[in-house]
Amino acid sequence: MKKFLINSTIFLIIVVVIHFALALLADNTIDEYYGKVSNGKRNSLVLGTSKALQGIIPPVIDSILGLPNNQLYNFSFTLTSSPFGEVYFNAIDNKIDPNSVGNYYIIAIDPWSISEKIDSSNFENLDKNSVLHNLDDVTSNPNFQYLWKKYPSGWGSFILKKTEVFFLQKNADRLNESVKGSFSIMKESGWLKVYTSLDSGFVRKKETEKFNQYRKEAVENKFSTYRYNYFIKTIEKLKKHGSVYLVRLPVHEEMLKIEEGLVPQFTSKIQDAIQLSDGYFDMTKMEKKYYFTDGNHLEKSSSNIASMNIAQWIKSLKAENQ
Amino acid sequence: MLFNSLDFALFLPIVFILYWFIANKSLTIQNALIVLASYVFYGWWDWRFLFLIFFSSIVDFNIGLLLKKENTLWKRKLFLWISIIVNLGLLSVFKYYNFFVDNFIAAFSLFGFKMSAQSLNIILPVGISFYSFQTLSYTIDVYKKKLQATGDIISFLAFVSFFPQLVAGPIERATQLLPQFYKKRKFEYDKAVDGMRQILWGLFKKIVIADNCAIFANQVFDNSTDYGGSTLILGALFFAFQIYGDFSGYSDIAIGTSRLFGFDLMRNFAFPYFSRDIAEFWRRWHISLSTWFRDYLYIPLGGSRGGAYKKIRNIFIIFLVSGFWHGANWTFVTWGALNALFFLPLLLSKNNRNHLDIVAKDKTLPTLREFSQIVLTFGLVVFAWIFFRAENISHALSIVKEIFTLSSISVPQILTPKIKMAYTLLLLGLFIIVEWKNREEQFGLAIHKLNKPLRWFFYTSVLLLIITFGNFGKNEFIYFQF
Repeated sequence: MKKFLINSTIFLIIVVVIHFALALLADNTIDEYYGKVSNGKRNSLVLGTSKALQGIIPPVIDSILGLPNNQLYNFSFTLTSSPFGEVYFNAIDNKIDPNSVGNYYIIAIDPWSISEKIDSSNFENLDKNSVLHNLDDVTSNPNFQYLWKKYPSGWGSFILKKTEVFFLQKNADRLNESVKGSFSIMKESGWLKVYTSLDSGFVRKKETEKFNQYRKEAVENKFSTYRYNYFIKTIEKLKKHGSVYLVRLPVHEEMLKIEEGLVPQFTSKIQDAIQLSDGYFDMTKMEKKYYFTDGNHLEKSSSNIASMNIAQWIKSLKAENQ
Repeated sequence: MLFNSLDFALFLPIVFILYWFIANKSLTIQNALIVLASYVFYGWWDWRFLFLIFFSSIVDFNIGLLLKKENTLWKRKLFLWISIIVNLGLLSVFKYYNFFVDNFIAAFSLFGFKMSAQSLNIILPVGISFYSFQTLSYTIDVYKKKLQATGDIISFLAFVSFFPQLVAGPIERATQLLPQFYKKRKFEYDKAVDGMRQILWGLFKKIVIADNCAIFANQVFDNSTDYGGSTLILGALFFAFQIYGDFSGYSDIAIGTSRLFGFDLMRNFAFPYFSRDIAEFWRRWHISLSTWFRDYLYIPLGGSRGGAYKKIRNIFIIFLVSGFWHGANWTFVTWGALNALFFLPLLLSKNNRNHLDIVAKDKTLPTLREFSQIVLTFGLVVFAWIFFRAENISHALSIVKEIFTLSSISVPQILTPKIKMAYTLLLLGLFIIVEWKNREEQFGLAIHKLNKPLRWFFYTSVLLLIITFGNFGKNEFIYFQF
């Protein structure tokens, strides 16, 4: 029995060692979020949901504002994971060095990120499906808590994912021309670069699907006082560490109509937040300048232009204030 | 509780430690621990159905005692029939009620009678077909006086509910398993290590082979109208490996786990895809069920004795019942009928016992003749699997129809995700090589003859393959539904 227990323990140790080695291999290529919750403290942040995740490119803004490389980090997730609320607030709080000052914060705001389901009653469980829910630490590398939560059964898939991303990165541009669907690569800046077909038929199909989905969502959701209060709380928190800029990213005109149906008079509704911030940039009037992958998210070349526009707007605001 | 779950990974060592270090003072306590652990294991899925196992066990335990005391033939027959009616009755209600009602109504409507009856929303208790047959084997053997009825209720409850094989077999005979509960178990190092190896190999078969093949088999069968013949064939091949990896993987884990507790379960799979004819296939596939039907149905019916008519009748009965045992659907019955059709020519020409040995024994490769026999047999098996996997008969027929067109000569469509398909095919190749290499052993990873460093190299490699290529969803075992 003793020999059996010793050998079983050795086997168990091998299992643990292999997993530890695999955890060291994990990086921003294993999924869309791991890089964001394992790259230490970051002080200048882009915040928001998937529109910001795909639409705002930190290095573009860094270079126009003359910031050091990799100063700004895109800490946006998705509508499920990062609408304003306690879960996202705590993650932002954990991400920032409590003593840092003079930072930049760009918050992408839209009606969805301050809405909730009409039948919501329990705020404690509102964001239970968020990847950030019950994640106490969003800075450690490796982030064992995240890995254990998201991959409870085997971390060998990281090797496959890394190989796949390596292959995709090498061939991304060539694949982009032929690809009929889409694929994405998480960049080190936290920006999710989405490669998708720009074939007009394909884009129209995705737009129609998205509009139908969001029309249904608009009926089932309402403006959330709980989320709006956390949005204000987030701005107040960030103001202690630097300048806060609010941005409403452009969307397709059809999507804009849906958003107006969800929260009419959006700009006046968030007036308190705008007053609290260092500026509000409504880009929805400029939608003709941009391409969208599905009517809701900016296409990567348009993300580049939008990021330049945001940076120049911040630059001009700063110049005015000086 | 699933074998491929974290719950089981914690449950097993806890029970193991309690069994060998705390409960080892007394056989009764050890058996009681097995009963408790088995009920926890089963109740993890749905505790409400524990009463069914308990009820079946109590009925058969008492019938066993009555049979022991009673010598009058008609009374003994009566007791046996009570056991059969109770066990098959429960099975019929939970598994076949809706099937019978629907088909009854459909049959009457053919003659213009309009009937209505309520279908019931019944949950099928996991493993009911397995433990019902196991406990039935006890009363039948006691009735036939092949086995002494037990007066030890704890041992009997443990025999019926023994957690490693409770929900998907192997279906153990009372004559083989029950006596093991009477004897003091001694921990044997070699047996336990062999058990661990078999568990590891079972996990590989389930998580790597079956669950990856399932992705592509489901893709093809769920969208069969989108594919040409060659892709449908590919889908059927994936399903063939899915069901083999899934079911034989479960059996490996069950047998391996039992060995950790000092028990020997019967072999359930003996490399069936290397069979040279259908008769050999059925001696190597789901052995515990095939032999159960042979001993308790086929032989009592007369077996292969008598004239051609009787032989054909008995073969059809055993295969149709076997198909029906798998589920209340005509697809399973058709699958059984097809296998009967494949088997009959061998039986009638007295060639059904041609291949009792291991193929290409002591050789590296099979002869060309053996190879073509294996390919042909495998082809027949895969063809029948189409009916087993299809949603209904018309679905199966539409697939078969497409397969018998020119589209089967084309290159199969690449399924998605492409990378997953590529490595699944590579892993399948590796799996076939390992199984072929070890076909003379009890299971694919029976590597006890190798030296220690090489053994550890294999353990680590299989482990790495599992954690790298494993499909770790909540994938239930296919045979749970039977």
